[in-house]
Amino acid sequence: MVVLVSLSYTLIIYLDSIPLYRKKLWRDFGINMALTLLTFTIAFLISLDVAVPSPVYPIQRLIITILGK
Amino acid sequence: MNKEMITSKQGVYLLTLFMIGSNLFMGLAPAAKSDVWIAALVGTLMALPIIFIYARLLSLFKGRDIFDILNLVFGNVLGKIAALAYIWYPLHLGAMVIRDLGEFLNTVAMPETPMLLPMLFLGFLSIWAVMAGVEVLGRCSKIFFPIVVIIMFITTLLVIPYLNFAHLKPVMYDGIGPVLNSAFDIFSFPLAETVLFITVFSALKTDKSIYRVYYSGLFIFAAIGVLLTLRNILVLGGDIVGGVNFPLYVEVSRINIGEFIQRIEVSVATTFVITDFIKVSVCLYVTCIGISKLFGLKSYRSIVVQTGLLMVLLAYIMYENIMDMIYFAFEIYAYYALPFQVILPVIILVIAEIRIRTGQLHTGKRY
Repeated sequence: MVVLVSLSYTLIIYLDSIPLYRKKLWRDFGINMALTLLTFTIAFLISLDVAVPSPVYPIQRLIITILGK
Repeated sequence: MNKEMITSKQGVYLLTLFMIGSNLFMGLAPAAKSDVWIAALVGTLMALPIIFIYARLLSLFKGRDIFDILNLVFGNVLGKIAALAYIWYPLHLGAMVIRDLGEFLNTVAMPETPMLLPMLFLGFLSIWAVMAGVEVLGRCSKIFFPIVVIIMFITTLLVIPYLNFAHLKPVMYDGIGPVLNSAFDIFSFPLAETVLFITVFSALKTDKSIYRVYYSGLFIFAAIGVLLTLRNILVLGGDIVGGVNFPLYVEVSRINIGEFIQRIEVSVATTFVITDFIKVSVCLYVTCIGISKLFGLKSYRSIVVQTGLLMVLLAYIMYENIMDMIYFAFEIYAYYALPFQVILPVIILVIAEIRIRTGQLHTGKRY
């Protein structure tokens, strides 16, 4: 799984990010790389079977607190 | 300015398919049981003023999306902070819809397949569509809309022998309370989600009134929604509709005509995938436009792949099980979405109207 994730991300970076670098769209490339890093981290953790915390439960608790349910 | 264009007809189809989304398959607000069809009607009435607000914003700022509008109305700093809300909301909504499909396939259709797989494929398809642009989405919806309507029509004809009108009674046994509650659920999930179309319709090329496009979509959805909900109740009864996770699928699986026409629930699953695809693509498109406007990128296409992957991964880690999903969708979501759907648009419209009338804001040509 880990190998599969790493290989797919190598392919994605090669096909999606490198062309931005070649076109010298620095801002686009920066944001693209930041998002790549974020998704790669999540995908990597999932492939290692680490329980990634969901953002939904804090939202749920906040709304329940506000509504006083 | 956005050079991609969709026609008003494509806009209506896109809007209708977006609203059908995953909602009809999960059952529109099942809490009201046999009165859901009344709740659907009341929900549509509740949505009329809010749709007017969205259309008014679009007609005031022709050819601009919600992020441009926020920038114009609130200024650079506050506008960017408010834009964060409209980046998070479609990202989360898209993830919810992807997860709906994942849970559907995992619990009903393909229990042995890992949930990530169908979600990933839907994600790839949406990434592809959004990369191709909003025009392609418009054309897709033009092709898919008749397919969805024909499948709905044929299944409606086939369930006629199973209709039992006694299931409608007693009408409003528990009073008006649960009906209004469900109507509010239907208002927020799917009707007011069309707030995202303030961004999509910035690409609308039409001489007709934008109000007409918005309201046509709403009324077509209301007709389909009420018909299908009524059908669910007449075939299954209020208690079963309230008890199962995917009532439409269960209902159609009961069709057995002459031991020959049977097991056609896969046709409903097809429409589920089609409408889910449209909804996810719209959400992904709006998120990408938002991120690209926030950071001043050259094109939103630079980040479509990563945003799409983020959406799929978010969908995967979002809930622990289907019960969490149902609880969030039907108990929490309506309140969670209220700021994005009602509060912020109302504030934007009020400030925009004041600033335009006092001459502080010039918006250019109007619809």
